Amino acid sequence: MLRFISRRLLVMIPMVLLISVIVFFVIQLPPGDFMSSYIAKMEASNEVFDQNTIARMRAQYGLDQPWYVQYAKWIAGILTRGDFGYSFSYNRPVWDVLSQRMGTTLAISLTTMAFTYLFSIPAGIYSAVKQYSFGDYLLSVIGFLGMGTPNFLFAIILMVISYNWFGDPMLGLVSQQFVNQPMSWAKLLDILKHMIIPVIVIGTANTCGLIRTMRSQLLDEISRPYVLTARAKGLSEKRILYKYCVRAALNPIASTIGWSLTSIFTGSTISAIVMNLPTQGPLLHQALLNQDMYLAGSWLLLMTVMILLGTILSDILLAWLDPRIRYVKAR
Amino acid sequence: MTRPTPLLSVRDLRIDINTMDGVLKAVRGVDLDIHPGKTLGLVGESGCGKSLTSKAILGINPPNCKASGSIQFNSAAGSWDLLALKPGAAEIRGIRGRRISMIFQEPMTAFSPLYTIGNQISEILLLHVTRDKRVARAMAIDILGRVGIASPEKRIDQYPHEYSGGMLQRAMIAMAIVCKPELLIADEPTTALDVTIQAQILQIMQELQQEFGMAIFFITHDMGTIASMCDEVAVMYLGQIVENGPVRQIFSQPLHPYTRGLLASIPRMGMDAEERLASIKGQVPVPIGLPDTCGFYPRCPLAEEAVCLQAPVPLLEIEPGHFARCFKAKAKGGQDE
Ligand SMILES: Nc1ncnc2c1ncn2[C@@H]1O[C@H](COP(=O)(O)OP(=O)(O)O)[C@@H](O)[C@H]1O
Ligand SMILES: [Mg+2]
Repeated sequence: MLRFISRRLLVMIPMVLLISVIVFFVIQLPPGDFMSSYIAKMEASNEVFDQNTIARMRAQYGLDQPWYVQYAKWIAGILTRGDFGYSFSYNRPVWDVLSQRMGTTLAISLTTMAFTYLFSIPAGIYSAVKQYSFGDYLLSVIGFLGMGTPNFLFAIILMVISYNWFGDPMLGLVSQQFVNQPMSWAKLLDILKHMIIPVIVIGTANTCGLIRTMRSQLLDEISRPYVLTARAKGLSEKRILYKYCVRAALNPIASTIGWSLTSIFTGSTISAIVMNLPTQGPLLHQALLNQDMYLAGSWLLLMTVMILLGTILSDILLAWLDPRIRYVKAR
Repeated sequence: MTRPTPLLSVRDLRIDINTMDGVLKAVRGVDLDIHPGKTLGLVGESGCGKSLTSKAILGINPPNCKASGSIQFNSAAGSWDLLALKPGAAEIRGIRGRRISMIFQEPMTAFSPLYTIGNQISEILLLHVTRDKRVARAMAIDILGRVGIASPEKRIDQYPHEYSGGMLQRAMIAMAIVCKPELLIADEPTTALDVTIQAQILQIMQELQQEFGMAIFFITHDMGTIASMCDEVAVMYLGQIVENGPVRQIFSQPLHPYTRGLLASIPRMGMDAEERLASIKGQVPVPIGLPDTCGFYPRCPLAEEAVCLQAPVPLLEIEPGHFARCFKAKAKGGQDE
């Protein structure tokens, strides 16, 4: 198993490098660069630049060189100094900008994931075991509503409700009076309160899908011949369900847990914008609009690493759950 | 004829299944007796209700199958009407796997792929026989060796996908007999296997029967395997027993035209395929809304409306211990009637 994991990690290295080249190439493809969009904005407010200043600034940022030279410098910086380059629009190193938001992003993602799995797996089991019961129908209705409602709309609805009932739409991640305050119990409580809506909104879409998956997988497993064997042995229904069926039904969910890590990370961009959350998604959105290429490139590179790590995590989980996979891998 | 009390007596077993098209009468009043240490064969075309009958004994049919009648089990540990026990409750679960166990048609899917063979065999021991994991493991290794699995101490830690079909069926048999049950139900145990392996599996079952002394309820659609395995045979057609008796009498003097058709379909040397296929004409009807009269009538070579359709046919004792559900069945000695 250890060899399997380390081999997977080694294979990841050339993959990340390759993807980083592609990412960088694609990002610099649109005509113009940060300078030209910057100048366009400035000109809109009647500021004028002479050609010399522009050329000087281009040279300063290395924008006058071909893209592969820019890429080589950038990647060398990352590998040797952990320097992800400079964000033009924030006027700060990229890593500063990213790491500032990393905490909130991870907090929301992980809470959402925990919420998603802790709720949807038991709900899926319940739905399958009590197939066609009132509870099953109720979960189905809620599930389809949750899947069908766009996240941003759902976010707005919840914020309106929150505003009407509690007088606070819960925008952002902390209330105004706590911004720039040191961490305290009151602030923590405030943050937790603000996380309720994002976690519900971002989590439901995933949750509903997971409940459906768990339900149909489990129904599949319950009708398999090995269940009859287990019953003929004299095992109790509960034991058959948990030892055999649920574990088998978890396989496909485990195989996607890695992806959902990243999809929660990225897929929530629009809701994050609506809810004014300082997460990574809106950051990329802005960086792309501004042609802030090192920021966008670094962001996408990190995402690549996350996706690959997630996939490996899934593989490990699957291998642990399913001996047939372990067997193939061992050879 | 005076015989000892049967180990298992099935009386008037009926199984109705609610389907979209109406109530499917899958089993229609089956009587069977299985005697201690003996083998009863149940033979019939696929779909006639054999599996439902056998699973009814353990109470493991799906909930939409409504069973009525009685299944009296006279075990050394006590007597029960198995049909009256609540399915899934502790009492019947104590019988399943411990006093009556069952092996199934598809060994490849009958084990869970997620646990080792050893885990799945030990599990039944830990449930019924011992609480000591090491004892259970030792017993599991021992039983695997007895059913002919080489180096069982290694094989026990392997997963089902590392076994061949024949080996899995051996492991299945091992799991079924490891608690020394009084009755082993084998539902088409060789149907999914290669011909050469079929013979080995049947032989192992017979050897184990000699050694452990359990009764076997042997279910098959193949008359050919009945002769070597069974003491008595029940022939099933459309949810009913149409003929029932000692194996020698059934083979030497079949009374029901359906039994004769089945016997004619056993491949013999020098017989070509066309001859075989021609043995029983027509197809098995779906048992929804059927009349109570003879179910074999539409396919029967002896069909005669005036005789056959006058009333439901009872199971008639034509010779001592040899029953047939046919108005036209006659004993050999009865020609002068
Ligand atoms: N769970 C079920 N739902 C509906 N019909 C069933 C079910 N189980 C069995 N049947 C029907 O009952 C009849 C007898 O089935 P079975 O006992 O499995 O036959 P076999 O003799 O081949 O073992 C068949 O017609 C089958 O289609
Ligand atoms: Mg069957």
